[in-house]
Amino acid sequence: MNLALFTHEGLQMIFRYIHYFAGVIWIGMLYYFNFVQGEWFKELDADEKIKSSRGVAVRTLVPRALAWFRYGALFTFITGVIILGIKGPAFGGMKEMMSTSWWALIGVGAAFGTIMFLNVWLVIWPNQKIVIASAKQVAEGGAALPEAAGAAAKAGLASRHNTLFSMPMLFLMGAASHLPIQVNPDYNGWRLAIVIAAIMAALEFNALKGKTDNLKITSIMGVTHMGVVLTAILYVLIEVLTK
Amino acid sequence: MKSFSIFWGALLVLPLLTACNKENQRPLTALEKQGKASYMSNCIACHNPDPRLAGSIGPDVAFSSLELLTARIKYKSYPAGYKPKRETAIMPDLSMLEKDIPAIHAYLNSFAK
Repeated sequence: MNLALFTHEGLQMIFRYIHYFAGVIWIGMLYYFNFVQGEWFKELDADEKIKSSRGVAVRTLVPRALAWFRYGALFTFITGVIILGIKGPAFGGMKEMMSTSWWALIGVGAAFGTIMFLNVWLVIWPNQKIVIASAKQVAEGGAALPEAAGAAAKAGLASRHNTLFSMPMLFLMGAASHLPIQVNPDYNGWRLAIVIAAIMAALEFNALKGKTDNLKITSIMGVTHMGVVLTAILYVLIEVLTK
Repeated sequence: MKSFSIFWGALLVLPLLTACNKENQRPLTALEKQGKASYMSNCIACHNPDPRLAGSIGPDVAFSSLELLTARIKYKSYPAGYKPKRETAIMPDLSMLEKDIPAIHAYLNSFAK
């Protein structure tokens, strides 16, 4: 009996399984931070009687959630690279791979996934470490770290942008295999790459230096609506630029 | 909440619009139905659910000959002298579908030319 799992496709499937599992952990935590915890913290801040719970949460719950968050991101990224590494060469050449609808969609999705992964490890986590250290210092009777408020804002800004990026990323990941678009095999891949890179660079610049207000992603309603709008824009661009 | 319902409501209406865009095909015979079931379960990860169109990875495959399907599905090869639509080597070993080849062939040739 031939077992499909012990083939080239099966090997990819094992890494894909880990990719999904780690990805759900990562994005699940991202949505928890953005859709649940942030709103809860606002509620705590507004009520003197329960305000101190925020410090307890930052010291005990947040580090636990952030550990699942960042290692989820790490394993999602690594397995994503491995899947592309196994699947890519099977096409028999870069040009052959890049002329498929699968690549046009997954390539953009993977680019968004990569920038999200970098935001987690290079922006959100370093800044959250400062926030947690400050909360611990306060609990021990000391003063809050002066840079803590700024660090929390930076982490929050990048996290809200990651929530925005996650929506096209999920669409493109699914569309790569389930929404074949009609690609002209001779389309200009560089033109598509440059347009997508320019959009990503502008959005990432805002994630590092801007405000959530610039993109109307301060509220949950705002970020989910903008996520759908960004997805629609990227989808149309990919359709148009691969013809 | 108002903007939520209008926005997401509009998004939910989209599938209704696309439902009008059904493929125009005659009723299938028993063999063609069997071929369609096999095609839908095994092929559309790469080929288009509408075999007349190119898929996410594989090309359009409607009107393929029995010889071509046998070569591709059973042996991962091409009939002698056949010029492939795409120069890729990514199609996996699908020799377990050998018994479905006549049905898949019937389905892929059931479309109006």
